[in-house]
Amino acid sequence: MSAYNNKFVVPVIDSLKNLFNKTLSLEVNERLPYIMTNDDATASSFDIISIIGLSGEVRGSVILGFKREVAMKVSSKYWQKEMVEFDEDVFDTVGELVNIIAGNAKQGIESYRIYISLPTVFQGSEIKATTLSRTNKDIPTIMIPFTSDVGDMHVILSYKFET
Amino acid sequence: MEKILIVDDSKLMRKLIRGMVDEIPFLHSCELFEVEDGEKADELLGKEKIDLILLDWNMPKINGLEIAKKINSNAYENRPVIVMITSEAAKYNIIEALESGVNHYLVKPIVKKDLMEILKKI
Repeated sequence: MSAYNNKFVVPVIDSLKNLFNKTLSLEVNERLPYIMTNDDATASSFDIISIIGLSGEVRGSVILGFKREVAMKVSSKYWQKEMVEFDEDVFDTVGELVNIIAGNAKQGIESYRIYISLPTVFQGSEIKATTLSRTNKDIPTIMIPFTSDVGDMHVILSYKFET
Repeated sequence: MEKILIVDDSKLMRKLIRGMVDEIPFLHSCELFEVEDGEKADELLGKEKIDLILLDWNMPKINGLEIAKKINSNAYENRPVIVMITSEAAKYNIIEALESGVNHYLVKPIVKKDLMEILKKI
């Protein structure tokens, strides 16, 4: 991973940890980020993902992925009420979380003007995250695994600087 | 203050904000409206004399910044106080919002204390 590409990784990690650790009182720790290969993409799957697009001086996407039970526990924590169904309230929450992570991360890279899209949420089973790098080999896809008391979660970043 | 409008495309976020407003004693007598996008906010602002709008930025159809600009251009009969509640945390976003007529800016995730402090000043 080049130093150039690292610039948005730390703000995203900080943003996620700040959201979970400080606001939700949920201890979340990152493991070592790595550049995904196609094999990694096939090996990691989720029950729900939320995607937010980046445009402006940084172009790409931020993906947040969970297994079903982790998404439900995180949602319960976020709204301080037990989520018993894997329903639109959980989907709404996962969309809101990626929105906050991406929006807050901009604070850590203010020399670049970045616009974020509305989040899109997909739920299913065995969702494989695909990114820009499948079609453009110059753009690495960076997987950041996180561990927490309620289970693992993953952020998948793919972006390039336009300036 | 009589009428408050909450605008956010997340149903749960609207519920959270409504819950916070409900817990603020001096706002108990206010009538609360909520809509999920800028287009519906625009329609409501044209019909109701809203005194305070709690406004998300990134929303479908018309975004919150466009609504703030429209309010600031006196497009509606009433000119509500605008509190923007958004995940957009960059300083350039905050400056752009304030220059567009936003009165107060809160970065998500929000806590009741921060919202209360702002509402007390209004």
